[in-house]
Amino acid sequence: MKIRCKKADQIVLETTIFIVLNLVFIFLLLVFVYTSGKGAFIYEEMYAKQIVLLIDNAEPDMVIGLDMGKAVELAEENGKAIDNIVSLDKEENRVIVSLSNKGGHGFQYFSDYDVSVKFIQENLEIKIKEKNE
Amino acid sequence: MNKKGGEKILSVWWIFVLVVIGGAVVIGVLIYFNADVNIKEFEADILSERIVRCLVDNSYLRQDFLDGEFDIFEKCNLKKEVFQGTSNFHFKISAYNGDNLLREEVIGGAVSFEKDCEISGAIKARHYPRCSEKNERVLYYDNGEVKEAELNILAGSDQEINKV
Repeated sequence: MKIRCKKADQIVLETTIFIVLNLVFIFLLLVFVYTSGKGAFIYEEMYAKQIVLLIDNAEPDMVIGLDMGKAVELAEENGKAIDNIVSLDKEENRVIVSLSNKGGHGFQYFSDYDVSVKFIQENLEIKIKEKNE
Repeated sequence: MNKKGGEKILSVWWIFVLVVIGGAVVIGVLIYFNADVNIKEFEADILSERIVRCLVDNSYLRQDFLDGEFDIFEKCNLKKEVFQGTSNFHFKISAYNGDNLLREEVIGGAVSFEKDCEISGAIKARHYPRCSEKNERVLYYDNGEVKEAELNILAGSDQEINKV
């Protein structure tokens, strides 16, 4: 009777360990997928390209609004000030998007406009003006 | 004895299954999130469209363009420095009346793109420039007479995202 009980205990223990290990494995996979999806660089690249296309496709005296809710959310999580998410390097005509304190991603536009950007809540306002206006 | 051997095989088999599932998920996620969003073609298209909008007014080719006193960068709001040196962009403008070239071709940016675009058009090449070509039927004045011409614009882009 005692031997039977011991064997049953062992089976329960082995099964429990087996299930726990499988759950740990699934949990680790989910954590990997979740952290990969939250990678700032994907959004930095996406928004930089989007802003550049908007600028190059714009005409002078246009004001364009771009919803950057996801970028703002990520920047806040990474302790980055909203006003520093998008910056313009006017010497090189480059839009730089940074959602963390580890640098950012830049993309160049070819238009020679006077471009300015400003956040209004979660929307980025892009103002396009003729130079020396 | 047999049962223990079976359990061993099962655990080895199970580890193999986990490795395959885990590996597939990791590879899938890495491929998905590292996929390059290629917008070179859009940029080239926007550049060629910008040049068309700037050169053609109401179906008429700008006279100052034909006269040769035309600064494309100033008139079309293009930043000159971006098209100099190792540029990410290229454009070539030519206007023909039949076989006659109406004025000297206007070329800016990286000249090698023209050949590279032929390659990227023929085969799938990820790190090659992409081009957009526009052919527009336009009108122009020649000694007070209205004539027809074909405006050909080739624009290309080879811009990759930069880590700053």
